[in-house]
Amino acid sequence: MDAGIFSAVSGSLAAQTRLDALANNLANANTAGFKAERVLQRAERAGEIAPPATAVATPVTREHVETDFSQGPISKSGNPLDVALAGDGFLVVKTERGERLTRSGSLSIDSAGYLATADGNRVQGTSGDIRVPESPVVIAADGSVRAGEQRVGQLRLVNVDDPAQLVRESGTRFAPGNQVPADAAPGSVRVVQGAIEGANLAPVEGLVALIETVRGFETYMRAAERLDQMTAKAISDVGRV
Amino acid sequence: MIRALYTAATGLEAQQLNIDVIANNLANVSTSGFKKSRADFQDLLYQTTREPGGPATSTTQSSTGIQVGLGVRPAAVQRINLQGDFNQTSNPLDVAIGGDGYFQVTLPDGSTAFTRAGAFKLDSTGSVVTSSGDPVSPQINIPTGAEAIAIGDDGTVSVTLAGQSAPSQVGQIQTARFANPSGLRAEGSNIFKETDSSGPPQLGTPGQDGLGKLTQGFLEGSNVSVVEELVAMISGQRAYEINSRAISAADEMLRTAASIGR
Repeated sequence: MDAGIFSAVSGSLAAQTRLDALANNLANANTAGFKAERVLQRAERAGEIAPPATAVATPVTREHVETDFSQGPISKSGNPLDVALAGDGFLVVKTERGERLTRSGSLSIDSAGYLATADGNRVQGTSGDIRVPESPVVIAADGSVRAGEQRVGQLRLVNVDDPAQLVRESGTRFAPGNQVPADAAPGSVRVVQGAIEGANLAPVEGLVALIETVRGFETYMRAAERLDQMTAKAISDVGRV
Repeated sequence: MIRALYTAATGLEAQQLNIDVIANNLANVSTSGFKKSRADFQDLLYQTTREPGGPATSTTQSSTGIQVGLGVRPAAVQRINLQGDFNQTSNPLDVAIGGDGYFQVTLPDGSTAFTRAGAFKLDSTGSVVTSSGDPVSPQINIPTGAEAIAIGDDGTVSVTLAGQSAPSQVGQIQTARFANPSGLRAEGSNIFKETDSSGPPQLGTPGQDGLGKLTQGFLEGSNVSVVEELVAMISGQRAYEINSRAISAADEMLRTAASIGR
Protein backbone atom coordinates (compact mmCIF):
# COMPACT_ATOMS: atom_id res chain seq x y z
CA MET A 1 0.00 0.00 0.00
CA ASP A 2 1.16 3.50 -0.74
CA ALA A 3 2.78 4.97 2.36
CA GLY A 4 1.89 8.43 1.03
CA ILE A 5 -1.55 8.06 2.57
CA PHE A 6 0.07 8.21 6.01
CA SER A 7 1.91 11.38 5.04
CA ALA A 8 -1.37 12.94 3.97
CA VAL A 9 -3.13 11.86 7.14
CA SER A 10 -0.32 13.27 9.30
CA GLY A 11 -0.83 16.59 7.53
CA SER A 12 -4.56 16.61 8.26
CA LEU A 13 -3.95 15.70 11.90
CA ALA A 14 -1.56 18.63 12.18
CA ALA A 15 -4.20 20.87 10.63
CA GLN A 16 -6.63 19.78 13.33
CA THR A 17 -4.19 20.70 16.09
CA ARG A 18 -3.60 23.99 14.31
CA LEU A 19 -7.31 24.74 14.30
CA ASP A 20 -7.65 23.81 17.97
CA ALA A 21 -4.82 26.16 18.89
CA LEU A 22 -6.23 28.94 16.70
CA ALA A 23 -9.65 28.57 18.30
CA ASN A 24 -8.03 28.86 21.73
CA ASN A 25 -6.13 31.98 20.68
CA LEU A 26 -9.25 33.62 19.27
CA ALA A 27 -11.35 32.67 22.32
CA ASN A 28 -8.78 34.50 24.43
CA ALA A 29 -8.70 37.62 22.25
CA ASN A 30 -9.71 39.74 25.28
CA THR A 31 -7.81 37.86 28.00
CA ALA A 32 -5.26 40.05 29.75
CA GLY A 33 -1.71 38.69 29.64
CA PHE A 34 -2.64 35.86 27.27
CA LYS A 35 0.19 34.49 25.14
CA ALA A 36 -0.79 32.96 21.81
CA GLU A 37 -0.08 29.37 20.91
CA ARG A 38 1.71 28.72 17.65
CA VAL A 39 1.66 25.34 15.95
CA LEU A 40 4.85 24.45 14.15
CA GLN A 41 5.15 21.53 11.79
CA ARG A 42 8.34 19.62 11.21
CA ALA A 43 9.10 16.97 8.63
CA GLU A 44 10.04 13.66 10.18
CA ARG A 45 10.67 10.23 8.80
CA ALA A 46 8.58 7.70 10.63
CA GLY A 47 9.86 4.16 10.88
CA GLU A 48 13.40 5.07 9.91
CA ILE A 49 15.87 2.40 10.92
CA ALA A 50 19.59 2.95 11.01
CA PRO A 51 21.58 1.08 8.33
CA PRO A 52 22.42 -1.72 7.55
CA ALA A 53 18.76 -2.69 8.00
CA THR A 54 16.62 -1.33 5.22
CA ALA A 55 13.18 0.06 5.64
CA VAL A 56 11.54 2.75 3.61
CA ALA A 57 10.71 5.61 5.92
CA THR A 58 7.43 7.45 5.52
CA PRO A 59 7.80 11.19 5.46
CA VAL A 60 5.32 12.61 7.94
CA THR A 61 4.74 15.94 9.54
CA ARG A 62 4.73 16.26 13.30
CA GLU A 63 3.30 19.21 15.08
CA HIS A 64 4.74 21.11 18.01
CA VAL A 65 2.88 23.74 19.94
CA GLU A 66 4.94 26.70 21.04
CA THR A 67 3.99 29.65 23.13
CA ASP A 68 4.65 33.01 21.55
CA PHE A 69 6.04 35.10 24.42
CA SER A 70 6.17 38.33 22.44
CA GLN A 71 4.90 41.50 24.05
CA GLY A 72 1.13 42.11 23.90
CA PRO A 73 -0.28 45.57 23.30
CA ILE A 74 -0.45 47.72 26.43
CA SER A 75 -3.64 49.71 26.73
CA LYS A 76 -4.57 52.23 29.37
CA SER A 77 -7.33 51.19 31.75
CA GLY A 78 -7.04 53.91 34.38
CA ASN A 79 -7.59 51.41 37.18
CA PRO A 80 -4.75 51.82 39.71
CA LEU A 81 -4.76 48.09 40.45
CA ASP A 82 -4.02 47.13 36.84
CA VAL A 83 -0.40 46.53 36.00
CA ALA A 84 1.04 45.70 32.61
CA LEU A 85 4.53 44.33 32.14
CA ALA A 86 6.66 45.84 29.40
CA GLY A 87 9.61 43.62 28.54
CA ASP A 88 10.55 40.06 29.41
CA GLY A 89 9.41 38.90 32.81
CA PHE A 90 6.58 37.54 34.87
CA LEU A 91 4.72 38.32 38.06
CA VAL A 92 4.69 35.58 40.68
CA VAL A 93 1.43 34.40 42.25
CA LYS A 94 1.02 31.93 45.06
CA THR A 95 -1.52 29.21 44.26
CA GLU A 96 -2.45 26.13 46.26
CA ARG A 97 -0.16 24.13 43.96
CA GLY A 98 2.85 26.36 44.42
CA GLU A 99 4.22 29.47 42.82
CA ARG A 100 3.11 30.23 39.29
CA LEU A 101 4.17 32.85 36.77
CA THR A 102 1.75 35.17 35.02
CA ARG A 103 1.64 38.32 32.94
CA SER A 104 -2.02 38.95 33.67
CA GLY A 105 -1.90 42.05 35.82
CA SER A 106 -5.53 42.89 36.52
CA LEU A 107 -5.10 42.81 40.27
CA SER A 108 -7.49 43.43 43.13
CA ILE A 109 -7.29 43.62 46.88
CA ASP A 110 -8.63 40.66 48.86
CA SER A 111 -10.70 40.96 52.05
CA ALA A 112 -7.58 40.80 54.22
CA GLY A 113 -6.11 43.72 52.26
CA TYR A 114 -3.52 41.83 50.20
CA LEU A 115 -2.81 42.31 46.50
CA ALA A 116 -4.27 39.35 44.60
CA THR A 117 -5.23 38.31 41.09
CA ALA A 118 -8.87 38.28 39.99
CA ASP A 119 -9.25 34.66 41.14
CA GLY A 120 -7.88 35.35 44.62
CA ASN A 121 -4.28 34.14 44.38
CA ARG A 122 -1.94 36.52 46.18
CA VAL A 123 0.71 38.28 44.16
CA GLN A 124 4.17 37.80 45.59
CA GLY A 125 6.52 40.57 46.53
CA THR A 126 10.23 40.22 47.21
CA SER A 127 9.32 39.44 50.83
CA GLY A 128 6.08 37.50 50.46
CA ASP A 129 2.49 38.74 50.20
CA ILE A 130 1.95 42.47 49.77
CA ARG A 131 -0.55 44.13 52.06
CA VAL A 132 -1.99 47.48 50.99
CA PRO A 133 -3.71 48.98 54.04
CA GLU A 134 -4.76 52.24 52.44
CA SER A 135 -5.31 53.97 49.17
CA PRO A 136 -4.10 55.43 46.90
CA VAL A 137 -1.96 52.56 45.68
CA VAL A 138 0.99 53.65 43.59
CA ILE A 139 3.08 51.07 41.76
CA ALA A 140 6.31 52.35 40.26
CA ALA A 141 8.03 51.15 37.08
CA ASP A 142 10.47 49.04 39.11
CA GLY A 143 7.56 47.30 40.87
CA SER A 144 7.75 49.04 44.23
CA VAL A 145 4.31 49.42 45.80
CA ARG A 146 3.27 52.38 47.92
CA ALA A 147 -0.01 52.60 49.79
CA GLY A 148 -0.81 56.10 50.92
CA GLU A 149 2.45 57.50 52.24
CA GLN A 150 4.21 54.27 53.08
CA ARG A 151 6.18 51.79 51.00
CA VAL A 152 4.53 48.39 51.49
CA GLY A 153 6.49 46.10 49.20
CA GLN A 154 8.10 45.37 45.90
CA LEU A 155 6.52 43.17 43.22
CA ARG A 156 8.66 40.13 42.48
CA LEU A 157 9.53 40.10 38.79
CA VAL A 158 11.15 36.93 37.51
CA ASN A 159 12.40 35.29 34.36
CA VAL A 160 13.31 31.75 33.36
CA ASP A 161 16.19 30.50 31.19
CA ASP A 162 13.98 28.77 28.65
CA PRO A 163 10.41 30.10 28.47
CA ALA A 164 9.59 27.38 25.90
CA GLN A 165 9.65 24.83 28.70
CA LEU A 166 7.08 26.60 30.86
CA VAL A 167 3.92 24.54 31.26
CA ARG A 168 0.71 26.41 30.46
CA GLU A 169 -2.00 26.24 33.07
CA SER A 170 -5.50 27.61 33.27
CA GLY A 171 -5.88 31.06 34.76
CA THR A 172 -3.35 32.59 32.32
CA ARG A 173 -0.58 31.12 34.45
CA PHE A 174 2.57 29.19 33.69
CA ALA A 175 4.10 26.52 35.88
CA PRO A 176 7.90 26.79 36.00
CA GLY A 177 8.28 23.02 35.45
CA ASN A 178 11.78 21.96 36.42
CA GLN A 179 13.26 25.43 36.03
CA VAL A 180 13.92 27.78 38.91
CA PRO A 181 12.68 31.32 38.18
CA ALA A 182 15.38 33.91 38.77
CA ASP A 183 14.85 37.58 39.53
CA ALA A 184 14.58 39.56 36.32
CA ALA A 185 17.59 41.73 35.57
CA PRO A 186 16.92 45.31 36.73
CA GLY A 187 15.61 47.36 33.85
CA SER A 188 14.74 44.36 31.67
CA VAL A 189 11.06 44.61 32.58
CA ARG A 190 9.03 47.65 33.46
CA VAL A 191 5.76 47.78 35.38
CA VAL A 192 3.13 50.11 33.94
CA GLN A 193 0.41 51.01 36.42
CA GLY A 194 -3.13 51.72 35.22
CA ALA A 195 -2.69 49.67 32.06
CA ILE A 196 -3.37 46.15 30.86
CA GLU A 197 -1.34 43.97 28.53
CA GLY A 198 -3.73 42.52 25.99
CA ALA A 199 -3.47 39.16 24.26
CA ASN A 200 -0.56 39.08 21.79
CA LEU A 201 -2.48 38.01 18.73
CA ALA A 202 -3.59 39.89 15.68
CA PRO A 203 -7.18 38.94 14.84
CA VAL A 204 -6.60 39.44 11.11
CA GLU A 205 -3.68 36.99 11.15
CA GLY A 206 -5.95 34.59 13.01
CA LEU A 207 -8.60 34.86 10.30
CA VAL A 208 -6.08 34.24 7.53
CA ALA A 209 -4.67 31.27 9.44
CA LEU A 210 -8.20 29.89 9.85
CA ILE A 211 -8.77 29.91 6.09
CA GLU A 212 -5.32 28.45 5.42
CA THR A 213 -5.93 25.67 7.94
CA VAL A 214 -9.31 24.73 6.53
CA ARG A 215 -7.97 24.66 2.95
CA GLY A 216 -4.84 22.77 4.03
CA PHE A 217 -6.95 20.15 5.76
CA GLU A 218 -9.06 19.79 2.62
CA THR A 219 -5.95 19.38 0.46
CA TYR A 220 -4.51 16.65 2.70
CA MET A 221 -7.81 14.82 2.77
CA ARG A 222 -8.17 15.01 -1.03
CA ALA A 223 -4.62 13.70 -1.42
CA ALA A 224 -5.43 10.78 0.85
CA GLU A 225 -8.53 10.12 -1.23
CA ARG A 226 -6.60 10.16 -4.52
CA LEU A 227 -3.97 7.79 -3.14
CA ASP A 228 -6.71 5.49 -1.98
CA GLN A 229 -8.26 5.56 -5.46
CA MET A 230 -4.88 4.66 -6.98
CA THR A 231 -4.58 1.70 -4.64
CA ALA A 232 -8.11 0.62 -5.51
CA LYS A 233 -7.31 0.88 -9.22
CA ALA A 234 -4.15 -1.18 -8.76
CA ILE A 235 -6.11 -3.89 -6.99
CA SER A 236 -8.95 -4.03 -9.49
CA ASP A 237 -7.13 -3.40 -12.78
CA VAL A 238 -3.58 -4.76 -12.60
CA GLY A 239 -4.56 -8.37 -12.09
CA ARG A 240 -7.08 -8.28 -14.95
CA VAL A 241 -6.20 -10.45 -17.90
CA MET B 1 -11.51 19.16 15.66
CA ILE B 2 -14.49 18.88 17.91
CA ARG B 3 -12.20 20.56 20.49
CA ALA B 4 -12.04 23.67 18.33
CA LEU B 5 -15.84 23.83 18.17
CA TYR B 6 -16.19 23.90 21.95
CA THR B 7 -13.19 26.19 22.39
CA ALA B 8 -14.72 28.74 20.04
CA ALA B 9 -18.04 28.41 21.88
CA THR B 10 -16.34 29.45 25.15
CA GLY B 11 -15.03 32.47 23.26
CA LEU B 12 -18.53 33.39 22.11
CA GLU B 13 -19.89 33.09 25.63
CA ALA B 14 -17.07 35.20 27.05
CA GLN B 15 -17.64 37.98 24.54
CA GLN B 16 -21.36 37.84 25.26
CA LEU B 17 -20.65 38.48 28.94
CA ASN B 18 -18.24 41.23 27.94
CA ILE B 19 -20.94 42.97 25.91
CA ASP B 20 -23.48 42.47 28.73
CA VAL B 21 -21.18 44.26 31.17
CA ILE B 22 -20.47 47.07 28.71
CA ALA B 23 -24.20 47.50 28.01
CA ASN B 24 -24.87 47.88 31.73
CA ASN B 25 -22.08 50.46 32.04
CA LEU B 26 -23.52 52.45 29.15
CA ALA B 27 -27.07 52.20 30.52
CA ASN B 28 -25.84 53.73 33.79
CA VAL B 29 -23.79 56.52 32.28
CA SER B 30 -26.03 59.12 34.01
CA THR B 31 -26.58 57.23 37.27
CA SER B 32 -25.05 59.18 40.11
CA GLY B 33 -22.53 57.24 42.18
CA PHE B 34 -22.42 54.41 39.62
CA LYS B 35 -19.12 52.54 39.30
CA LYS B 36 -18.36 50.82 36.02
CA SER B 37 -17.50 47.16 35.86
CA ARG B 38 -15.19 45.23 33.62
CA ALA B 39 -15.21 41.54 32.71
CA ASP B 40 -11.80 39.94 33.30
CA PHE B 41 -11.01 36.72 31.47
CA GLN B 42 -8.59 33.85 31.97
CA ASP B 43 -7.65 30.95 29.77
CA LEU B 44 -9.20 27.56 30.50
CA LEU B 45 -7.51 24.21 30.95
CA TYR B 46 -4.78 22.93 28.67
CA GLN B 47 -4.79 19.50 27.15
CA THR B 48 -1.22 18.26 27.34
CA THR B 49 -0.31 15.65 24.73
CA ARG B 50 3.38 16.04 25.37
CA GLU B 51 4.87 17.81 28.37
CA PRO B 52 7.33 20.61 27.49
CA GLY B 53 10.78 19.55 28.64
CA GLY B 54 9.71 15.92 28.74
CA PRO B 55 11.91 13.19 27.29
CA ALA B 56 11.82 12.96 23.49
CA THR B 57 14.19 10.02 23.33
CA SER B 58 16.23 8.37 26.06
CA THR B 59 18.88 11.07 25.76
CA THR B 60 17.11 14.20 24.49
CA GLN B 61 14.41 16.44 25.80
CA SER B 62 11.65 17.90 23.70
CA SER B 63 12.15 21.63 23.62
CA THR B 64 8.45 22.32 23.24
CA GLY B 65 5.54 20.11 24.09
CA ILE B 66 2.07 19.85 22.69
CA GLN B 67 -0.32 21.75 24.88
CA VAL B 68 -3.54 22.93 23.34
CA GLY B 69 -5.80 25.21 25.30
CA LEU B 70 -9.52 24.65 25.57
CA GLY B 71 -10.78 28.21 25.59
CA VAL B 72 -11.58 31.02 27.95
CA ARG B 73 -13.59 31.63 31.10
CA PRO B 74 -14.63 34.76 32.92
CA ALA B 75 -12.42 35.21 35.99
CA ALA B 76 -14.29 38.15 37.49
CA VAL B 77 -16.52 41.05 36.74
CA GLN B 78 -14.52 43.65 38.56
CA ARG B 79 -15.98 46.94 39.69
CA ILE B 80 -13.61 49.79 38.97
CA ASN B 81 -13.88 52.15 41.92
CA LEU B 82 -12.47 55.23 40.29
CA GLN B 83 -13.78 58.62 41.25
CA GLY B 84 -16.68 59.88 39.15
CA ASP B 85 -17.03 63.45 37.95
CA PHE B 86 -18.50 66.08 40.28
CA ASN B 87 -21.66 67.63 38.92
CA GLN B 88 -22.84 70.84 40.52
CA THR B 89 -26.51 70.83 41.44
CA SER B 90 -26.67 73.55 44.13
CA ASN B 91 -29.20 71.38 45.93
CA PRO B 92 -28.23 71.57 49.65
CA LEU B 93 -28.97 67.89 50.19
CA ASP B 94 -26.78 66.66 47.35
CA VAL B 95 -23.48 65.42 48.74
CA ALA B 96 -20.53 63.97 46.85
CA ILE B 97 -17.66 61.99 48.38
CA GLY B 98 -14.26 63.00 47.03
CA GLY B 99 -12.13 59.91 47.62
CA ASP B 100 -12.71 56.73 49.57
CA GLY B 101 -15.91 55.97 51.45
CA TYR B 102 -19.57 55.05 51.27
CA PHE B 103 -22.65 56.56 52.89
CA GLN B 104 -24.34 54.19 55.30
CA VAL B 105 -28.10 53.69 55.00
CA THR B 106 -30.68 51.52 56.75
CA LEU B 107 -32.87 49.42 54.48
CA PRO B 108 -36.56 48.76 55.28
CA ASP B 109 -35.65 45.27 56.61
CA GLY B 110 -33.36 46.88 59.19
CA SER B 111 -30.11 45.81 57.54
CA THR B 112 -27.30 48.22 56.77
CA ALA B 113 -26.25 49.00 53.21
CA PHE B 114 -23.80 51.36 51.55
CA THR B 115 -24.06 53.80 48.67
CA ARG B 116 -22.03 56.43 46.87
CA ALA B 117 -25.14 58.19 45.56
CA GLY B 118 -25.53 61.23 47.77
CA ALA B 119 -28.73 62.61 46.27
CA PHE B 120 -30.48 62.91 49.62
CA LYS B 121 -34.04 64.07 50.27
CA LEU B 122 -36.20 64.69 53.30
CA ASP B 123 -39.09 62.39 54.12
CA SER B 124 -42.39 63.36 55.76
CA THR B 125 -40.86 63.19 59.24
CA GLY B 126 -37.91 65.39 58.29
CA SER B 127 -35.25 62.68 58.30
CA VAL B 128 -32.57 62.57 55.61
CA VAL B 129 -33.22 59.69 53.18
CA THR B 130 -31.85 58.44 49.85
CA SER B 131 -33.83 58.61 46.60
CA SER B 132 -35.29 55.18 47.45
CA GLY B 133 -36.43 56.47 50.88
CA ASP B 134 -33.85 54.62 52.99
CA PRO B 135 -32.75 56.73 55.98
CA VAL B 136 -29.11 57.64 56.39
CA SER B 137 -27.50 55.92 59.35
CA PRO B 138 -26.96 57.31 61.98
CA GLN B 139 -30.28 59.02 61.41
CA ILE B 140 -30.38 62.78 60.88
CA ASN B 141 -33.54 64.83 61.41
CA ILE B 142 -33.93 68.27 59.97
CA PRO B 143 -36.31 70.26 62.19
CA THR B 144 -39.26 71.96 60.51
CA GLY B 145 -38.67 75.63 59.93
CA ALA B 146 -35.04 75.18 58.99
CA GLU B 147 -34.09 77.93 56.59
CA ALA B 148 -30.71 76.69 55.51
CA ILE B 149 -28.96 73.34 55.68
CA ALA B 150 -25.18 73.23 55.71
CA ILE B 151 -23.16 70.04 55.37
CA GLY B 152 -19.49 70.44 56.19
CA ASP B 153 -16.71 68.51 54.47
CA ASP B 154 -16.34 66.47 57.66
CA GLY B 155 -20.03 65.45 57.51
CA THR B 156 -21.47 67.73 60.18
CA VAL B 157 -25.02 68.73 59.32
CA SER B 158 -26.17 72.05 60.73
CA VAL B 159 -29.33 74.06 60.17
CA THR B 160 -30.23 77.69 60.61
CA LEU B 161 -33.68 78.00 62.10
CA ALA B 162 -36.02 80.86 61.32
CA GLY B 163 -35.31 83.82 63.55
CA GLN B 164 -31.88 82.56 64.61
CA SER B 165 -28.60 83.85 63.35
CA ALA B 166 -26.24 81.05 64.43
CA PRO B 167 -26.50 77.59 62.89
CA SER B 168 -26.99 74.62 65.17
CA GLN B 169 -25.66 71.13 64.56
CA VAL B 170 -28.35 68.48 64.07
CA GLY B 171 -26.32 65.47 62.98
CA GLN B 172 -23.19 63.94 61.63
CA ILE B 173 -22.85 61.94 58.41
CA GLN B 174 -20.49 59.02 58.83
CA THR B 175 -18.89 57.20 55.94
CA ALA B 176 -17.50 53.69 55.75
CA ARG B 177 -14.58 52.23 53.88
CA PHE B 178 -13.64 48.66 53.03
CA ALA B 179 -10.39 46.79 52.52
CA ASN B 180 -11.72 45.54 49.18
CA PRO B 181 -14.54 47.77 47.91
CA SER B 182 -14.67 45.74 44.68
CA GLY B 183 -15.86 42.83 46.81
CA LEU B 184 -19.08 44.60 47.86
CA ARG B 185 -22.22 43.02 46.48
CA ALA B 186 -24.23 45.30 44.22
CA GLU B 187 -27.90 45.14 45.14
CA GLY B 188 -29.21 47.50 42.51
CA SER B 189 -30.67 50.95 43.26
CA ASN B 190 -27.08 52.20 43.83
CA ILE B 191 -26.93 50.07 46.97
CA PHE B 192 -24.05 47.83 48.04
CA LYS B 193 -23.86 45.26 50.81
CA GLU B 194 -20.96 44.00 52.83
CA THR B 195 -19.60 40.53 51.97
CA ASP B 196 -16.82 38.27 53.28
CA SER B 197 -14.76 39.42 50.35
CA SER B 198 -15.19 43.15 51.00
CA GLY B 199 -14.28 42.84 54.67
CA PRO B 200 -16.14 44.65 57.47
CA PRO B 201 -16.93 48.37 57.15
CA GLN B 202 -14.58 50.76 58.94
CA LEU B 203 -16.77 53.69 59.99
CA GLY B 204 -15.34 57.10 60.43
CA THR B 205 -15.60 60.82 59.98
CA PRO B 206 -15.22 62.04 56.39
CA GLY B 207 -11.80 63.57 55.82
CA GLN B 208 -10.12 61.43 58.46
CA ASP B 209 -8.36 58.03 58.37
CA GLY B 210 -8.21 57.99 54.60
CA LEU B 211 -11.93 58.68 54.13
CA GLY B 212 -12.77 61.20 51.43
CA LYS B 213 -14.18 64.62 52.24
CA LEU B 214 -17.77 65.54 51.45
CA THR B 215 -18.84 68.34 49.15
CA GLN B 216 -22.29 69.84 49.50
CA GLY B 217 -24.23 70.90 46.43
CA PHE B 218 -22.55 68.39 44.16
CA LEU B 219 -23.38 64.90 42.97
CA GLU B 220 -20.83 62.29 41.97
CA GLY B 221 -21.59 61.23 38.42
CA SER B 222 -20.88 57.77 37.11
CA ASN B 223 -17.28 56.96 36.24
CA VAL B 224 -18.30 55.53 32.86
CA SER B 225 -16.44 56.95 29.89
CA VAL B 226 -18.69 56.55 26.87
CA VAL B 227 -15.80 56.60 24.42
CA GLU B 228 -13.90 53.87 26.28
CA GLU B 229 -17.01 51.71 26.49
CA LEU B 230 -17.74 52.13 22.79
CA VAL B 231 -14.19 51.11 21.91
CA ALA B 232 -14.51 48.08 24.21
CA MET B 233 -17.84 47.25 22.59
CA ILE B 234 -16.38 47.32 19.10
CA SER B 235 -13.48 45.10 20.10
CA GLY B 236 -15.85 42.73 21.91
CA GLN B 237 -18.15 42.54 18.92
CA ARG B 238 -15.26 41.79 16.56
CA ALA B 239 -13.91 39.14 18.91
CA TYR B 240 -17.38 37.56 18.93
CA GLU B 241 -17.48 37.58 15.16
CA ILE B 242 -14.04 36.03 14.82
CA ASN B 243 -14.95 33.24 17.24
CA SER B 244 -18.00 32.44 15.15
CA ARG B 245 -15.64 32.21 12.15
CA ALA B 246 -13.60 29.62 14.05
CA ILE B 247 -16.79 27.59 14.48
CA SER B 248 -17.51 27.76 10.74
CA ALA B 249 -13.92 26.71 10.03
CA ALA B 250 -14.27 23.66 12.28
CA ASP B 251 -17.60 22.92 10.63
CA GLU B 252 -16.10 23.11 7.17
CA MET B 253 -13.25 20.79 8.12
CA LEU B 254 -15.71 18.27 9.53
CA ARG B 255 -17.69 18.49 6.30
CA THR B 256 -14.55 17.83 4.25
CA ALA B 257 -13.67 14.85 6.41
CA ALA B 258 -17.18 13.48 6.09
CA SER B 259 -17.22 13.86 2.31
CA ILE B 260 -14.01 11.85 1.77
CA GLY B 261 -14.48 8.55 -0.02
CA ARG B 262 -17.96 9.30 -1.29
